Amino acid sequence: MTASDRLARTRAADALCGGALEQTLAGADESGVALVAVGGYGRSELAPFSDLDVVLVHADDVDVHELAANVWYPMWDSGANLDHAVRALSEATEAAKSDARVALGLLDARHLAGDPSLTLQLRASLLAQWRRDARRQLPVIRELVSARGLRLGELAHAAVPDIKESMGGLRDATVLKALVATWLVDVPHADLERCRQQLLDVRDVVHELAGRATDRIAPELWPELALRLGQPDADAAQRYVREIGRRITHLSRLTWRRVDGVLERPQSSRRRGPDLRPVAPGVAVSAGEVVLDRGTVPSVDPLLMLRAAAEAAERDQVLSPPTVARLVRDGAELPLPWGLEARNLFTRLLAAGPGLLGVWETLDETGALARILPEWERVRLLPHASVVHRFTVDRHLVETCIEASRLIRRVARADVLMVAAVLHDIGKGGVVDHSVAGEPVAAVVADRMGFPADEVRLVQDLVRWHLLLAEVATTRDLDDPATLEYVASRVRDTETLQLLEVLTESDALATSPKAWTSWRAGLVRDLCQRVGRVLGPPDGAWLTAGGNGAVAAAGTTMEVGEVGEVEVPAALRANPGLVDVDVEALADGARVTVISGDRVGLMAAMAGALAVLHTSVRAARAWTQEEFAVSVWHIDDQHLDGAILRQRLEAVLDGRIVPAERLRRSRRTALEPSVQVRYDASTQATVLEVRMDDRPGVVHLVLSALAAQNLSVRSAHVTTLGPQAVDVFYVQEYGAGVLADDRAAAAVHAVRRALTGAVTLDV
Amino acid sequence: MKLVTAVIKPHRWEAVRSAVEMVGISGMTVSEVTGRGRQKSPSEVHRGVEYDNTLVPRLRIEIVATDEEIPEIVEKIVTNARTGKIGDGKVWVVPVAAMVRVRADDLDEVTRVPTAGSSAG
Repeated sequence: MTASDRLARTRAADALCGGALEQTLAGADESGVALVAVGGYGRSELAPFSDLDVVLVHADDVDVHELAANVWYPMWDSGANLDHAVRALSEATEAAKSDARVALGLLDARHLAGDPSLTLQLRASLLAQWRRDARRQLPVIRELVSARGLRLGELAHAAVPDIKESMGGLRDATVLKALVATWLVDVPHADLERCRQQLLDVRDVVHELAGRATDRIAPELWPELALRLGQPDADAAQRYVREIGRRITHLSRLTWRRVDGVLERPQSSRRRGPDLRPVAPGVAVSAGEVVLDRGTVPSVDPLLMLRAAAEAAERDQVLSPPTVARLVRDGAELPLPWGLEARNLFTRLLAAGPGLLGVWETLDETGALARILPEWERVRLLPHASVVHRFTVDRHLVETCIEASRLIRRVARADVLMVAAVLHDIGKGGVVDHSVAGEPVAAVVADRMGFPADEVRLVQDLVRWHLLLAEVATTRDLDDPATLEYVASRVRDTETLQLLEVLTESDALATSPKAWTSWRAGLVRDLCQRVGRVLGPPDGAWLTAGGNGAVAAAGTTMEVGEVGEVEVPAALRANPGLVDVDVEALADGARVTVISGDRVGLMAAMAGALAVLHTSVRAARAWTQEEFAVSVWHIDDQHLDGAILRQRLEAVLDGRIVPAERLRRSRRTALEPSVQVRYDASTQATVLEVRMDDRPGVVHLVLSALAAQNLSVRSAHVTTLGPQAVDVFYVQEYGAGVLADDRAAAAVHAVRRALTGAVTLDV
Repeated sequence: MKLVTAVIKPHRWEAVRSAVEMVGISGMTVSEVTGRGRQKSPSEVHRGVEYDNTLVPRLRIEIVATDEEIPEIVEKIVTNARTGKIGDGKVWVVPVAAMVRVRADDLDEVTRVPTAGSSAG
């Protein structure tokens, strides 16, 4: 099972094939005829039961019909698995031109016997043609590669992997070599070659064990394979093989992204030097890859890794492996516990959707994950015990995050949901029930991330009970009050129930489509409805304190609180048309107090002015004092210039600046916002809760929509919890209290219309 | 030879299965189904979406057995599926004209009475 065995097999086959041609020619003129080996045989990589792929090539003006039959007979008689063809030189190049698969096979053509100059000519013309046609052929090959990947799954994760055809298998490695031959992209050759040789060794053993030409590793083969590969047990053998598959998948994914980048750029516009486009502090995009911005010093900013990863995943772009490797080497360690921003970046990364997969893989391959989440090692490439699962445990966790990211509008705490999603199976791999084993691990991780104690408890509960709803719904009597009490006593409140319901659905969807049929979904939904009635409506306090609670616990509270009466400047008393703006710097932001004569739309105008200045609002509160409107804003920019803000505010009020015109459609395919009335939250005002992506300008859009309905906003509580902003607005009729039902419905409709289409300030 | 079809509450599955196995029947076909009986519950709103609760999830069990075995099988299903509440399900029995085992390909024996524990699936 070594390269030398493969070489010996190839030599024997060469002797057989070459001998057949030489014997047929029997000393006659061999010019214009050559026998070449193609595919795996061309690469001298014959496994014990491999086919011999050979082509009898001839010059266009040489007739080889009779010769061909005489060549194949002795080879058939020898019992070899022969896959043969006869082609004129022009036919071979033409076939390679019209069929990308033929082109891939012929690229490895190797001379066996006959006229060597003809083989040389064939190779030279094929290679030249391959380079010339690369821009046309590569998209076709990409389609073939992805279709094959979808059909056969990944070598790293599929329950029954195929060493040759699965994604990350031998065929992908061969395609990578062909990509390099185009001269458009490059790969780490030594790395790729090492992986290829290891996989070839594995394939040799699989052929020998199976006694036939199969590339699929059936589950019962692993123990024997372990023995032959020198691995301690079946699990170790799985890890060994899957690790190689993951490496090739990673290289393949990365290389194809680079091919995309090359194909997207017009051939003529090659620029000299890197083209860096800053996208976040210290992070830029260059040639479709997320890298460090010019002049960024990795050792200064501990959040760089998470920020770059979140940006790359949200943009569904490559996180440059050399950039991550540099950050692993030279980057500053994250503080312990993490701050709020690190947590927000990490949960944004987890909720980025399909872009998470490639970025997570890069973090894993470069060793960055070991720094961010050392507990990951427990489940890395760990096979699932149940055949229901499509993937290994680690990949299942990533897939669960991707599924959960589509459902975050259903929960108030998207950040908690995402952390629970990535950790829910972290306890697998031992003898103890994995949800029991996972609970303390989840607690350690959540604690390190700096979640306040009650939220650490929440993450723990979600991990501990992530199987509860599915199990109870299918095995217990939902009509029995004891069943509902049983669930309610573990879940404790409606918010946890909602989180658990979304986690259950994401987990099942990531497991396999069969695990979340409408039948099962119906049972779980029924159970949640019933338990929800037992637990009662969500706690109103959660709405205003829930998000702010997270902020407060991180020591960065921006609670507006009871501000009390403010002093109205004399100039304003003399002329209520003026606007007074006072900015007071705080430890991690600033407090802005705005006083003006009372009028509709003042808060909307202020939010618009802040959006135009790219300043994020954390909280705002408004009230009337005598005939003046007072609003206090907490913003995240410590150095905002009060004079500039006043100037912008006046311009918005006068209509010289229309913030909405500066708001462009978001480039991201955002989830639809959720707008709900929380009837239980207050008796003084109608509470609107808006969940949507955190983007500048959102507060302005909501406040403008409410002002257009002639409604007064008493306070706005704006909280970003990782991937989702949860904004709560206390709305009243002017001079009155809560909104009548039809007015509340109109307000919801107006806000939803203003936000739908993800119109935001695109920075 | 008869076909017993039972529609039961999902959580009674384990009890029904082990009871039926106790009388020597191991072959059966089980499907996840939804349906409605005489009872009707109003549609409900959950997470802002209205759901039609008149279709409820149930399990359907099908067993083919000899005429002599049928009474005991039905009795086991009924006693173990019963919770005494509305929506416990139904069991019905219909005659089977013929049965062929696919593997055995015994087309000549379509009229022969199968042995105990034969499966419909």
